[in-house]
Amino acid sequence: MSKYTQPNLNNCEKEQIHIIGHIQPHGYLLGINPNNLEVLYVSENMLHKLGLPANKSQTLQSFVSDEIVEIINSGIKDGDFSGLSGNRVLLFKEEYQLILNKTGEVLTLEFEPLEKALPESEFHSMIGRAMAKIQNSPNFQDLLKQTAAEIKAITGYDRVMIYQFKKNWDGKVVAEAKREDLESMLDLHFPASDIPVQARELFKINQIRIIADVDAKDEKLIAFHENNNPLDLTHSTLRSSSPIHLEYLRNMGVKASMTISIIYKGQLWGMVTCHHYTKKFVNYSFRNTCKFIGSLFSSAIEFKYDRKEKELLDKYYKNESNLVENVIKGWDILKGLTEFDTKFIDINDSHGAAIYFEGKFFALGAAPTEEQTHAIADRVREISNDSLFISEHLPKIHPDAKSYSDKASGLMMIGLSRKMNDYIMWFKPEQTQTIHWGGNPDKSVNWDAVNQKLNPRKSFEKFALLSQYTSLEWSDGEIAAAIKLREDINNILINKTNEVRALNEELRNAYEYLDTFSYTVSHDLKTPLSSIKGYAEILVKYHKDKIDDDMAKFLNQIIINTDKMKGLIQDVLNYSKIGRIEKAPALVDPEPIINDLIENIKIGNQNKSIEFIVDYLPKLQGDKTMIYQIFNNLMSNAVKYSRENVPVVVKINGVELNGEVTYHINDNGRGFDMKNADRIFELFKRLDDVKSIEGTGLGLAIVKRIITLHKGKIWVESSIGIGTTFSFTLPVV
Amino acid sequence: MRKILLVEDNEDFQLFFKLKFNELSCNSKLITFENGTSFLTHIKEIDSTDLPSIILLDLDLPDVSGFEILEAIKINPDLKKIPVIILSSSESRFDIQKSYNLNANSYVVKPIGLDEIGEFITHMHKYWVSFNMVA
Repeated sequence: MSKYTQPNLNNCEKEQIHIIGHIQPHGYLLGINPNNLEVLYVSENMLHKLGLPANKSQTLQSFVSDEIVEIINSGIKDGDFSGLSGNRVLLFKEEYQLILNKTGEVLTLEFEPLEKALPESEFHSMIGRAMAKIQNSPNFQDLLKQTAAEIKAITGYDRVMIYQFKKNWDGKVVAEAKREDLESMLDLHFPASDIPVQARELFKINQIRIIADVDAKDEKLIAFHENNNPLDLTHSTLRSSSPIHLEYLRNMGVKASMTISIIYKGQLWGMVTCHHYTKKFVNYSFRNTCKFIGSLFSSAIEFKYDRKEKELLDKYYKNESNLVENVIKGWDILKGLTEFDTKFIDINDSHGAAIYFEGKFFALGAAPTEEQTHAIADRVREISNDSLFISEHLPKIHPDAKSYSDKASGLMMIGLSRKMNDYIMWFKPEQTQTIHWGGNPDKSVNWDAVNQKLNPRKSFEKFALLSQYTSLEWSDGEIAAAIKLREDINNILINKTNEVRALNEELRNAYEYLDTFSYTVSHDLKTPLSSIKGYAEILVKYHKDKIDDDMAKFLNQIIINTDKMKGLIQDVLNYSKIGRIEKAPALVDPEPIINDLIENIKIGNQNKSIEFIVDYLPKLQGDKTMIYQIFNNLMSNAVKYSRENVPVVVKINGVELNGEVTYHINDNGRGFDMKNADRIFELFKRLDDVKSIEGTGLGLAIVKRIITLHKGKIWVESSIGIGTTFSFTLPVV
Repeated sequence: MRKILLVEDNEDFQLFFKLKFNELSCNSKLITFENGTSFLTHIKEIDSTDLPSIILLDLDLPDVSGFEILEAIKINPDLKKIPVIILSSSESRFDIQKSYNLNANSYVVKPIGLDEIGEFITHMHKYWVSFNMVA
């Protein structure tokens, strides 16, 4: 049993308290092999009581009555010992409670004094009462208070405290029920080292611990086989405590204690700590009741404490999804996060925020300057590879931040690209507050050089410390929302790449389509035209003698018109090459173009009543063919998408202002839903309700392309059943 | 006498072309083919000492595509020297590009009307037949 070593400064976190090798003297312990009931370990007090030697292995029967052997055998038969603990048994002619635990290959039998017996029904009513109080507590503070009070009432400890861990495992007393004459410890903070990590691990497994008398002399555990490992006391109820912890309690004046772990979502949320200033034992049944109240409390946290958290989280998540929606709307990350009602600062409780994305910087609220922000990012990249970084004391890891700790003592940062080159940061200001510690937290453990051992602090006097360069904590909800935003943005970035790819694909298809289109137009229209012209020419040139003057005139008209048509076909071919040809822009008078078009449109739509109202027509600068195409498409559309049985009225009007010419083409047609206003300019996009009207879906796309090529703008206003106004602007240099 | 081959399925265009060709009396012989198959048969049996001076080729033929014919000429070691002018109504960049990739010597968008056809014949004759072949 020599594997447990006294802790020293170097291994204080490694103290192996689960194999401490001692138990408290108020009970007895046996460790047996459940296969043959051979006794492997025994507490020394049991050997003494029976006058047995420590060097000779014994059978279970030499230690306990047949009644107990019977209980053990029934457990072995069922392969389950869990239901057998708490049985009242006679040992050394007194009533004890037997507690069974199987750890590895060893079955541990612990005998604890019964001390105070109560009928089962009493425990039930205790639990019932506690449950009612816990469930009816109107808020979290009350829930804490009620729980502490109930446990005090059941156990009779002098002081019952609820102790809550912070993220760094410092703890704070958040509720207290105490004997009236005692000084309150409510709101005191305790450093993480008061409950070291291995103790916290044990508290997660063995959720209730009792120390009956801090001054009692421990009983050694004897192993009958020399090569036996020290007995694992993880589940033991009698296990001795670390001498450091006992001294810690003694320094506080505490003579007996009990602790109940509060496990919440698999984590140690906090502890119910009971202190007594004289020695005190609480039996297994009472402890079990307290443990049950502890778990009632854990589940109540979910309803009371968590509801508040959850409401906040819901708000953060809702704002986060607004942001993502806005980003998707325009496929623009920066705009989506900064330009709408919900801004990226709204997904947590930060006071300032900054984003750096694709070379652009944007800050909101109380944020450091751009240079300071970049310096923070550099520092974070130095110390972390993660795409999430959180600190509640930035100036401590980045001393430059001391000069602006009022803005950025707290930092949460997410990376929007690899290596955090693009990022979002949220800031929380310095929260100067006085924290009362239970003793000086920096001297929680002292090294005693004379005796070569660790000593816990002696003083638990209130010790006030001003916390500097520290912000409020980033809550789980705030962190969750930030991570969600990071994930969503990453997804959008991936999709955005895909979107660009899809657009390129669409564009390439469009080019291919236009090539096919131009081929079809050129070949299928030009070939018959060529024949018409050719034969007309043959008649005129080679058969002059057979035709009279009238016929010659008509044939000439045929030839003139085929030339006109040839020109038109050429134009159409040219339109299909918009963006590929470059022509020096010239001033173009649109009046003849518009007049020509009015005539053509009227001829082509003789079944409709059409009125064109033409107002001022300023000159435009650009490619004449393309300007013709703009008016052609917009004016034809104005007539094409008319309402049935309503005379068509199209108004054309130009305005010249500040080096720009703006034209409005207004109709009284069927109109469309403005939510489709962007779509109508897309290639081959035709609105569903006009599918019956012939069209290629190219017209407006071509117009937009021409206008964009001329560095102009086009926009549209429309109301269903009233009409549409297309407006475009071309610059005049 | 120099021979000029025209592969063209459109009878109207053929007629106009012949008319203008004869009118301009180019001192060359025009041989026309109405489809790809007949043309390919012809060049298979061609006498390598009596090659045509120029081939005028339409792309849009009813049986074999002009590209295939162009390729057949240009991979044939005996024929590949013969200048091939693509005569097509298509202005598609794709068609133009592809023709040059297949080693067409020129691409001309089909002239419309007798005057344009006459212009084409004159220029073709001047450049591709008289000048080029004599040299």
